[in-house]
Amino acid sequence: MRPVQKFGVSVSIAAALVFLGVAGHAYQSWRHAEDATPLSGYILIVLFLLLGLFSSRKKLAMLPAGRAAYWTAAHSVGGLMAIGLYFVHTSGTVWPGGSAERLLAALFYLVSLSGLIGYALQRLLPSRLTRAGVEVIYERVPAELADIRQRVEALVTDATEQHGSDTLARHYVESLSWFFRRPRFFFDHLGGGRRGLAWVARETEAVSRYLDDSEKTCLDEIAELAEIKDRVDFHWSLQTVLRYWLFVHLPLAAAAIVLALWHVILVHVYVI
Amino acid sequence: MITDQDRYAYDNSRYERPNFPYICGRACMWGKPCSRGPNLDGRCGGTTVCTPFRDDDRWVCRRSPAEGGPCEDGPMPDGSCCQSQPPCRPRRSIRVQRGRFTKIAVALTLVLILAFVGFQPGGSASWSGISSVSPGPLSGAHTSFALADIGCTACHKAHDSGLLQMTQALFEPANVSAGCLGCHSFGAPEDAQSLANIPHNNRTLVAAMASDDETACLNCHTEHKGVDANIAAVSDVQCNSCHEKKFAAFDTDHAAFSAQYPHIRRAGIQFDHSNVTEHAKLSCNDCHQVDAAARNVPVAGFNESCGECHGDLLRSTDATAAERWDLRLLRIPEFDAKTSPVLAKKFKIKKLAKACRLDDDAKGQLTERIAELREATGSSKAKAKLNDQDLEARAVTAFLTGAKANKDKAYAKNVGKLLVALAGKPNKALGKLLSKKGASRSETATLLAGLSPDLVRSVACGWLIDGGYKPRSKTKNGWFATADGLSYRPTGHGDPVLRAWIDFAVSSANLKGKKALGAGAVLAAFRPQMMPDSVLASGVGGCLSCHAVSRMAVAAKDGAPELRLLAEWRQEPASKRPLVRYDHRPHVDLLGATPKCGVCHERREDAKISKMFEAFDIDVVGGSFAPIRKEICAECHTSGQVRNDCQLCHEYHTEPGFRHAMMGAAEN
Amino acid sequence: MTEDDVDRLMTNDVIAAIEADRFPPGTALGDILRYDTRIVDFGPGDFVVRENDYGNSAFLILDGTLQVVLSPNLPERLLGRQTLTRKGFFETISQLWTNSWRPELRDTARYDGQQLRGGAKLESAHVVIQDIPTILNEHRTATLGVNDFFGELAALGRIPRTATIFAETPARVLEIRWQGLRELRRFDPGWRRQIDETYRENALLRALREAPMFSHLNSDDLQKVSESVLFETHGAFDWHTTYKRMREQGKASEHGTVIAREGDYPDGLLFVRAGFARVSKTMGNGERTLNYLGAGDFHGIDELYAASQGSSGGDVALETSLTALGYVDLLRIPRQALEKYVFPNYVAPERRTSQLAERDVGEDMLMEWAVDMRYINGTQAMLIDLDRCVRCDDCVRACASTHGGNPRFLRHGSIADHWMVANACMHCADPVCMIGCPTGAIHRSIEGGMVIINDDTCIGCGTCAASCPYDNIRLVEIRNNAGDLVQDAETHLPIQKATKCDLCVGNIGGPACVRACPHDALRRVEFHGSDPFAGTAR
Repeated sequence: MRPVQKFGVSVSIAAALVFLGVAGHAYQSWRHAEDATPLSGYILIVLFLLLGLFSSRKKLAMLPAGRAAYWTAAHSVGGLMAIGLYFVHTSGTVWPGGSAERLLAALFYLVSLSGLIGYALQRLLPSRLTRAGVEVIYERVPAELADIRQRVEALVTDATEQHGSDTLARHYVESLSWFFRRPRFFFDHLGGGRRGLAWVARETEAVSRYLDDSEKTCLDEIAELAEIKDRVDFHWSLQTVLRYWLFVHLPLAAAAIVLALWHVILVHVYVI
Repeated sequence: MITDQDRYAYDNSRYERPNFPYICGRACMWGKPCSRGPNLDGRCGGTTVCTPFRDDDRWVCRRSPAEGGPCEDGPMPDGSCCQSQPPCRPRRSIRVQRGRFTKIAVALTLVLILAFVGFQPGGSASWSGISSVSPGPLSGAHTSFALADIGCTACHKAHDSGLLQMTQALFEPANVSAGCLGCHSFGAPEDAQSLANIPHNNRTLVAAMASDDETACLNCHTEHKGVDANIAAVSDVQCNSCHEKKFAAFDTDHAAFSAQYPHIRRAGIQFDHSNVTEHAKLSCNDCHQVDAAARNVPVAGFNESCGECHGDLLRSTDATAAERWDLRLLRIPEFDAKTSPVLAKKFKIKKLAKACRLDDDAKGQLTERIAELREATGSSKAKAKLNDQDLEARAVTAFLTGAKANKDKAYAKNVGKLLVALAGKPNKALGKLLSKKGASRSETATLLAGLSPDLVRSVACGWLIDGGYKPRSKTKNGWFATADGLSYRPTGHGDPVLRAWIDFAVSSANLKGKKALGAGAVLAAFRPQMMPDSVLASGVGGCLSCHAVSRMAVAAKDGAPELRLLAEWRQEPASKRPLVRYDHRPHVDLLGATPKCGVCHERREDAKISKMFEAFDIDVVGGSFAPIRKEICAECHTSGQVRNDCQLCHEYHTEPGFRHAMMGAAEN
Repeated sequence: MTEDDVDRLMTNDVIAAIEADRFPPGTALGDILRYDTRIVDFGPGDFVVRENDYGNSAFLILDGTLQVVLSPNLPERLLGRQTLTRKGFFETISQLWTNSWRPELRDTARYDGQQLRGGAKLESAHVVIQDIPTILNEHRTATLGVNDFFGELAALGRIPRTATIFAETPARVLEIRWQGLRELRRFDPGWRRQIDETYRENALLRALREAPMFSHLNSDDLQKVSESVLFETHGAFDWHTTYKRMREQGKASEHGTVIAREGDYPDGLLFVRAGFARVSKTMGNGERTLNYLGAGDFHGIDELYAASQGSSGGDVALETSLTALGYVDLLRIPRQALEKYVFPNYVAPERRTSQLAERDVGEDMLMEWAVDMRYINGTQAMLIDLDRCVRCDDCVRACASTHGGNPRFLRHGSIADHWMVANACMHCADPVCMIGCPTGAIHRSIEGGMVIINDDTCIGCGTCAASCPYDNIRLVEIRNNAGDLVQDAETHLPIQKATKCDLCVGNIGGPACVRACPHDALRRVEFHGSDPFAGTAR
């Protein structure tokens, strides 16, 4: 087991123990008509801030502040513990009463849910990306697609010039160009399907019966390029998701922290 | 392209700069991005492919080697690049957009908080209830009282007190629980503000508790859980955590009820449910008012219950029996040789003549009689022996005048004196006697209510002057004169005069100091008349054949309880068990229309009711019904059937009553 | 090199002493002079070679005086290298606000202080000693004059220059590159003797002294051993050019020059002094790589030991083949020396090298590929586990954060299975990039061993970038603090500087990329075995 995995296990055990301790203490307090909500509350707000610190640590990459892989493990475990502690803190209430509390609860649920989904994505998608057979940097996808498109169009132009018939060119303009214009079949790629390739196969087969042999050769080359392009699309889909899930997780987490601090202030002014 | 072998070459692939905030606009539109990328100011950097350089007199193309080096055509004559294109609109990178999203989210949250911070939470679910301060609607009771009148400051003193105060409140304890005592009194005195006075609140009771703190209200009662929330709910587990005797469930581990449960004391009215045949035939709800069932099922008034059968008893037509039910206030003895001179000494002729309105003739007669009486000598006749009835009839007079009934001479002397007084101012004389024995003025008024002074004077004068009185009227109701005195016949159940006389008799036993006679002595004096010696007979009015005389703890003038003898005219209220709660109503309905009282209240055939009422102690328990055992309740109150949690029967707080101050607080 | 030059050279004493007849027609002396040498002129103060530089050529002084700096060594700064200063804690944190997303900002005022002599052509720029008399006063030097010869060790052995040599007076020098030198040594006995003696004295003896198997010998015995040892070089020193060309064409690298073949009689133990060699066994129609050898490793000991114990039953044959990867400089230690000095103390390992063939082919796939791609050269190859990498670019951002906002590698590169070797400098054992730097800007740090480019003295000629076989060095256009491109004053072309990964040498905490990966997907590795991450765990 790698050191990071060992660390993950240790942190999980420690977090489970802490959680059980807090939950047990909360139960005992309830039994004895004492109030343990402040304890779980303080732990939660500290946990929120520590979890949010992960984002700051990434900005401080120049400092030797511990390997980010350890922070990820701690962040994931901490997030799970926060979910558990939340329900200890609210004594099992799922949907609170006041407006600010409801917004905080909603934000917390969304952040937790997006975090769990994001964790799952980050474990599942990379190996699928690797298996695609190509590797492309996300920011270079437009350049790659433009390049492919250029080659395909050069092939089409050549074929038209050489053979005089514009069948291929027209078919390209009418249908295939749609495919090469930008990444397609976004959701199908997410699901791991092969709709893109099937579409290309259908379109090429549709026109191939109207072409002569040399044009067919050109069409084959176009199909090869289409296959490459389809793999780039696959990368585009998955890498987009790998980037954009954070658009849900991070802003909502920031808002949740602000609301949590407001909650702490309110509780101290009104109750504690 | 992606399949080129040399795509990683140092001159083909430049560094990717993830921190660069702009992305080529053409790339965003899926066009071919220019190789230069956006400028540092965010504008398009690819409008031209190169920046031509003037080398002496020629313009030279300066296209970068990555794009193929200098182009063939070279720059335009005016020095501009030959390959130009319209500018794109560079977009912010994903990371920048994400940062903006985050900043917007934070700003939006702050704005929302501040926008709704001033809203006062209104009704339970209305939109006006949006507030960034309120954590939810209050329970129904608190909404109607605290919130409607005073607002949030009823519990939260820091609310709406200004920014500076609220910032201070951040660091000071809020002590919400103290606010509860502003409305809830818990049976403690008005000035007792401490939580420690609340039963179940004083933790020193339970040694096992680790914390020395008092239990704050908020530990169990959390508000803001909605209009219908039960904020007083306590679970069995919580009860078990403090109580040393723990039990898993009512039906299994709960301790057995006390031996005589639910009875703490004997009844106030002697009623044998079982052994009297007629009583046994009755159905429970013939007398017990099921409609008014609460902690107990109250018995209907005399007229609806006992009076159905015993109403006539008090108006018995049997003359002898009736006589024995009369109060013999005044029993005037035979004046014989022994007693007469004594008596005659007291006679003041003038006074008497005036009081009795004697004319001269009568006055002359009186003078002669008095002379006779004074000279009466001789041995007394064989004294007629006094029987019990006589003694009984003399009892009240003897008590009032201070003589013993069986001592003729003393008795007659006192009676003579009394007669003389009665001839003058009868009520005053009687009143004086009564007050000497401890009756207050109002009591005296009741005791002598309806007693006509003329009647008294006639009787007194008759006896003094004529040696006897012949009653004129035959009616025997209320106060009436008899051949040998003055009596009172009760008019019916609950006759107030008779009641007053019984109360007077019983309360005399409680006198202290010089007036004290001791309960035994008094009642011995009264017993012949007042106290029944058998059931259903004797006793003035027959009252005390059903109503018990009991020694009970009563609050004296200074508040301290003391034991006193009292006649119990009403059925006792349900025993005060502050921490146990019982309501007959759900059980009555549940057990069916026909009374099934016997399901829980099992009759006892061997109950000796009369024995219970022989003495004045109320602690003798052992009535007509067997005590209710826990098992009886547990037949239904068991897991899986009816509720059997602690809070069903037990109270945590004794009286969460309200202070008067609460009503006036709205004006503040 | 003109014909006149060649003729003039032939008249030179040293050259004339060469027996031209010994050279075959295909490699005539004149051709060697014509094609494998050039005449270089140095001004006073110009460095000819710098200590610890790697070089490809030897030098023959034709005219002028050169000075060899003996001790103390010249300060690094004078040699065009940067002094290694690590940022303090506050300076590290201040990068948070001093880093800029504007690419490649430079404080151009720094460049004025460098002692660069510019020229119309970049490659003729030199780092120069301004104050020769002071240097001569403060350092002990030796004078080299006409007909003195130096630099052959570096050329033929890939050994870093042992001393700094600069021109005291204007000097003319014949620079002989290693191909020519190899031919000269091969055919001319005089040169062979001289070169071999120098080699034996310096490189060989040092290598033997540092080898664990001879560490217990006293100096006399060691001397005896060194005299009996033969040495040979296989492969090409400029393997990187061939390599690049093959890669561009998409072809796999050549298998390598065969040094010893499986089944051959082991003629002495082959001890690798420098370079890399492949140990392989025939499998099917190909050769299966079992292992690769670097400096300090040896080949054939199992078979020789078995023979010495008499347990091989007569015939002794090599169980595995040895081929050169790039170049390899070997020492051949004869059996007698082995039996006298090595085998008495030798404990045979449990597994013989040839038994590595019992492993599953799949397990060795990565190593096979790494050998093929010559990634075994790298000591700090950036290896990314693509099954864990979420393509978040945190590593690139971290690299940028330690370099003023400019990343120094690219997250792309060759892929095998789920491993990617990214285009980040691998700090090779054989740093071919360091050969030919005109100013000494690219150098190997003595403290850390990493290869660094001194930005202040780099003139952006691009030699290193072109040399790097793995395309890990990139030239960037620099900007001044205002953000404008800095242009050369004369040509008005943007000034470029070479940049590459420096293992975060000026920063605390080591390479930031490894630290920054949130999924433990990136490590700096040397290739061993089937799990390349093994041994790099922290």
